[in-house]
Amino acid sequence: MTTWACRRAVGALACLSVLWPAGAAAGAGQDPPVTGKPVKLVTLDLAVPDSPAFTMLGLSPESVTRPNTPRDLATTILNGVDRRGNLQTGIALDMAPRFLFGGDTLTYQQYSGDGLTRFLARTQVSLAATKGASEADKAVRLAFGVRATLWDRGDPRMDEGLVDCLNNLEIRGPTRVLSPEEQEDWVVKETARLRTKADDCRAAQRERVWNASGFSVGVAPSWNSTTGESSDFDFDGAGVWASLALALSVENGNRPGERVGYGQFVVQGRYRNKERVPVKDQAGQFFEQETAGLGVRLLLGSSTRAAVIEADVARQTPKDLEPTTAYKLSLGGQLRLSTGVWISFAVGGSGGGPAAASKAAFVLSSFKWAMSREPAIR
Amino acid sequence: MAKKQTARKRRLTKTRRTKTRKTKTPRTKARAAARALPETPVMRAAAEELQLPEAEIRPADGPVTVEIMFGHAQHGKYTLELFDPTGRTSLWSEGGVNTDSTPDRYTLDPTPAALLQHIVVWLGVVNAFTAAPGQQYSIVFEISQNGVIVPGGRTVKKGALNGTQAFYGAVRLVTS
Repeated sequence: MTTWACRRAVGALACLSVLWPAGAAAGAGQDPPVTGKPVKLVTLDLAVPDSPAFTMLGLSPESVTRPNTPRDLATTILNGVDRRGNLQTGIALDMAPRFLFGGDTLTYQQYSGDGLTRFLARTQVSLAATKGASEADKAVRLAFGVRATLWDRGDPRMDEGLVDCLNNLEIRGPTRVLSPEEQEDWVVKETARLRTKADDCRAAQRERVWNASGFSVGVAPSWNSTTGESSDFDFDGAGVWASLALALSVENGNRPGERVGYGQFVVQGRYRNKERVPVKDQAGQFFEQETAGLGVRLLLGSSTRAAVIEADVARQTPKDLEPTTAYKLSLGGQLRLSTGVWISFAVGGSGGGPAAASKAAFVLSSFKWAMSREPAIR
Repeated sequence: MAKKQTARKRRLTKTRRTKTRKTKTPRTKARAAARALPETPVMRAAAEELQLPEAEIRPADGPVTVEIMFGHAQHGKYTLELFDPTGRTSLWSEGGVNTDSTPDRYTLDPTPAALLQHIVVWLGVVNAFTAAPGQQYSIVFEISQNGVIVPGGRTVKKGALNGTQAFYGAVRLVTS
């Protein structure tokens, strides 16, 4: 990748960084390379975090325990707590309680026929704990998160097309009773044969609901114990997220009653208080702040072309300091030039933020394009 | 919604049971008679080869009912089949899915006495609706009479579900 230096632009455009794809500067008249990766068009994460507790503590745990049975859960918790009830090491738990504690008896009919059951089944609970890494820092931080999907038009269990596809899988039962050894062989072979067909069903469903509507919320309170003792925990702030996605579609002229999706609109709101932010150039020093943000994305597209507009506004209110507002804006698009040849581009910029940077009204921080065999978004 | 597979019903063939030894008590005789393998050498060899788990039905009680249930709200497709004591002749078969409104419960037509030594097979596939990791499946197959599960009549298969899982189970019907 060759990076061209920033260029001054008139008015709002303060800096332009042009990133050419590898080989793009090879010379005029040559065919552009199509072996590169497409430009990333969707840059903002506007979903509610899968594990709000991890987000609250700023964790990206390598090993998240996802217990599948109550026994797994008990073992994990017991391993993470010493005899005095204090947390030993980092814990990162993520689970769906309805499936964990009653999954064996949760039938499809209960799920599809009862809204409360669906709500509970779609609810994730996460638990995270961190402990100071040194003798001087014995603090333990604990967060508990809940993520609930209140509305999900892309729920695969409620997708009639997927249900029909799976219903139509053909089971090839033997013509006689199998001995236990033969049963195992049959199960292995039949599983392998049917998995391929079922994967096709699932893949087709994912393509159908690429722009599905939905609404999710998440909340994660946290606590801090400076001594590390479980009796010294104090409330340490909370984070709240909400994300609404709306499908954009039109009536299919060829098939009355069927709709064809052409886009999706997503809006996400978030709020967090008592966030501890490191003071720049002062190791071990932190200040508290509140953060509220709003992000939106408009995705318009068809099988051969698409455009994405994303914007995000975040307001930070540090304790005893002036609040600041930062915003980001990006535009992107993709176009299929011919079979297996796509061109994609993205322009992004930001403005506002901390005092030093807020003097510039808007900074265009990147312009990227690429030729690829795969589209950036499908 | 999927349609139920067409039932293939065949005429039930009768089998004779072996005679009990004179030295046994009446109760043991009855048990041995019911558990005894079919009389012909072919049938006996086939039955010995299968070595299937047994469910104890009551010959004088109500009709035998079989039911299959799928947990974790996963997709299940199944076939239930009744075989003769040798396990080579299918006498009845019914298939279905757990996503329709039809109960996955069936009453076997032959009387309980006529079902002794016959084999009930349940097979099919469980599919996850998504490819997400960490999913589970649970299948419960029950044989009951008058709403009560018979001894040995409940089988559970459960475990991690990596997208798709076929299953197969077979139970021989005997009397206690």
